[in-house]
Formats: sequence, C-alpha cells, structure tokens
Amino acid sequence: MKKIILYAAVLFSAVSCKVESGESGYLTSGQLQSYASDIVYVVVEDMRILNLLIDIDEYLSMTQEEQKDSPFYGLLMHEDGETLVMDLGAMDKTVFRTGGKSINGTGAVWTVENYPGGRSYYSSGVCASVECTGTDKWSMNTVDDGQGIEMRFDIQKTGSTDTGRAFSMTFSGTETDGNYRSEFRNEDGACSYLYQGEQLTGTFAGSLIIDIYENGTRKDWCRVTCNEDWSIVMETSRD
Amino acid sequence: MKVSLTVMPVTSAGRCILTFVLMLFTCVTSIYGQDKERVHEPVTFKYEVRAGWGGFPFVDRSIMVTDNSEIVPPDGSLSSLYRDYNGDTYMTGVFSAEFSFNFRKWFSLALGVDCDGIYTRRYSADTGHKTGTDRRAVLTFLPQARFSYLNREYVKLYSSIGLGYSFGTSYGDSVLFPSVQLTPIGVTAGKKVFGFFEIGVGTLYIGCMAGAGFRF
Repeated sequence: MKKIILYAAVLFSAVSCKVESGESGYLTSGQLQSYASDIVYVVVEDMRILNLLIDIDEYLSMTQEEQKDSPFYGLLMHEDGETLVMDLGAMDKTVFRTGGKSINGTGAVWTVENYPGGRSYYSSGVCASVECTGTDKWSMNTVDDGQGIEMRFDIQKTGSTDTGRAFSMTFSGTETDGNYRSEFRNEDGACSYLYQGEQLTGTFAGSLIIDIYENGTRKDWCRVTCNEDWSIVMETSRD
Repeated sequence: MKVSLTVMPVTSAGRCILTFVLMLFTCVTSIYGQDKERVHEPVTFKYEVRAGWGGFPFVDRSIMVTDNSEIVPPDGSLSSLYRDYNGDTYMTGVFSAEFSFNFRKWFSLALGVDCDGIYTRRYSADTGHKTGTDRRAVLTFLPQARFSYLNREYVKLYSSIGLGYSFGTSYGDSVLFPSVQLTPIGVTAGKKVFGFFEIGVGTLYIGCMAGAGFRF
C-alpha cells in the first residue's frame, strides 16, 4: 500500500503542471516598517483628540456672538449640560462628556466616544478619556476596540502660537490580535508633536520602539525615528 | 470538519443530463432488443476498458483554484502580517478510466470516471517554512456516446459526446457542477490492445487526451 501511494505521488509530481504562481507573503522589513508607520499614525491621531477637546473647550468659553464665527457653530450640539455631540463622519455621532468642567482645570476628566480615528477603515471608532493633571498637563487613555489597540499618554503643552500648539509627550500602548501582541513606547526621551489645525496632520518627532510577541515570545521589533524635517529612519528585526 | 455543498445552478442542466442518460439507455435497450430480429455484422469485441491522461482542465482551474492576485493583502493588523501564504498551485491533469459497451461497430456507450488533482503548498510568513499542503480533487462521472466513422482492423476514428456531473472538494467546501465533453476527433490504434489519442473540448478538459486500452 505504501508503495502504491509512493508511486502515485511520484506520478502526480511528474505530470503536474503549475497553474498559479504563489503569493509573496514572507514577512519582510518593508511590511514591519509599514506596520510601524501605522502605529505612528495612531499616536498622531490620538494627539488630535486632545487638540479637538482643547478647541471645543475654547468654543464653550466664547460668547454667543463669538461662537457664530466658529467652525463648531451649528455642528457641536448640546445633549445636556455636560454632554455634547458632533457628526465627525463616524458611523455614529461622536459624544463628548465634559463633567461640567474646563479641560484645562486640574482634575477635570473629559471622555470621548466614537471618535473616527484609528488605523484604518476597519476601526470601529476610538474612545478616549482625558484628565487634566496640572497646568497644561494631561494624561490620556485611548481604546480602539475594533483594532485591539490601547494607548496611554502623558502630555505637556510646551508652546502655543497663532499657527498651532506644541506638545511634549511620553506614551505606551499595546495591540492584541489573537495570539499576537505588540507593545510600543517612546524611546530616548519624550516625543514632540506640533498641532497645526484640523486640516493638517501636524509634525511628530521622536523615537519609538515596537516589540511584537506571539504567545509571549518576542518575534520581531521595529524602531522608528521621526525628525522634525519629516525624515524618518527605521530599523527592523528583518533588515 | 463541517463541509458545505454548493450545487451550481443545475435545475435545467440536471434535467438535460437525466434526459440524455435515459435516452442513451433507451437506445441501448432498443438496439439490444432489435438484435434478435435483425442480422448485423458481429462486433468483434463487446467490451473495452481504457485509461488515459489529458488536459487542460480549464473549468476545474477556474472553479477550484484561487487567483492569488485577488487575495486581500494584509490589512495592517498583526495577525494579517503573520498569516500563512500560498505557494505555487499545481494540477495533475485529468486521469481517466473508462469501460465501454460496444453495441455496434459504429456505436458504443462509455462509462467513465475521471479525476483531476490540485494542490497548493502553504508557507509560514514568519519563517518561510512549509506549513502544509492544500489538496483538492475533482471527480467526474461522465457517460459518453461514441460514434465510430472509420472502422479498420487496427485503426478507428471516432467522435463522442458526454454529459455527466463533476464533484469537487475545496477548503472544506464541496461543489457539484454539470459536466459536458465533446470529442470531435479521436483515434485508436491497435486491435486487442490499443493506444488512443483524442482532441476534446468541454468541462472535463480543453485540449487532448491519450492513453491505452484493452478490448475483449
């Protein structure tokens, strides 16, 4: 019986012909770099949440006449005294809960639900909790359930001009996807972010390291260094 | 393993096939019945078995083989980076086995079983090592009516038409689809032991088939 199977296998191998070329699916340095770029994008998008809350806080402190000139006028709606909603293009409206306090007041906690950030189209919306921990200082936690990404930030505003706001931040986060888990954090000191308004991405500078694990065993890593001139240097375990 | 069966739209085609097979058997029995009344040139060999190999099975290829260019690329998630990927896909071609009833010198009914094998090796995106082999097969049951228009002692020329069903297994799913095969020209060479070569078009293969057989 074994001989028959062996002869059959030899026969099939001899007469078989290739009908479809295989995928080029071997994990490359380029794919790891692409993944790392996505994580940087998540960091930047989460920082934009804080800036949106600061902008909303400024809008709420304006007089009614001043609010009419604001882009939030007619878009940001009160549901009750401490809850606002706005359509930002997510599947559901984005909900902001202020706790009745200014985002700049120490101890104030604002929460956000269904913010249309995240890494990709597959994101189901980001939830965030932002606490003011001091003058121009905040801690922020974000969760993207659809992507399994959680992040934590400690942020300090370092400057403010007519064109934007500058921040210094440290952060860490994880992504969990089945048996795989990635852990990422800033490296070699705090990173910086320059927010230049809702229409621009802003400028991120600093280094972060990403470690990827399968069932607790480290498999790959990637180190990203973003410079203020927009140049990026990447190293991966697959170089 | 849960297996689901997909039946290709076969309602009218299925009726066609059933009608064809019933007609074949009706013809066969009527011809056989008439044998007792008419005097016909005796058939030298009443039965025939043959085995062959041919290709190319275009229909099997289109139904059973995944076009890798249509596979959604990694969506950026961790698991998509490390998913297994397909290597090259191979097909064995169609292996055929047939038993024929020779009712007349010019007419025979062949009952054939054909098998086409397909396999794809899978590799780990992490290590590049082989992680397994996806194996699929298409089994076809194909009765054919064969008409010989040149009958010499050692050479025959014929044409045939067949209707049947193909059953394929793929990735835990099964698919059933009708099979039609037309052979405009075929030739056998030999008397008792013979070789054959035919050109055909249909769901079984488009191209040619060759093999050997035995008459008795």
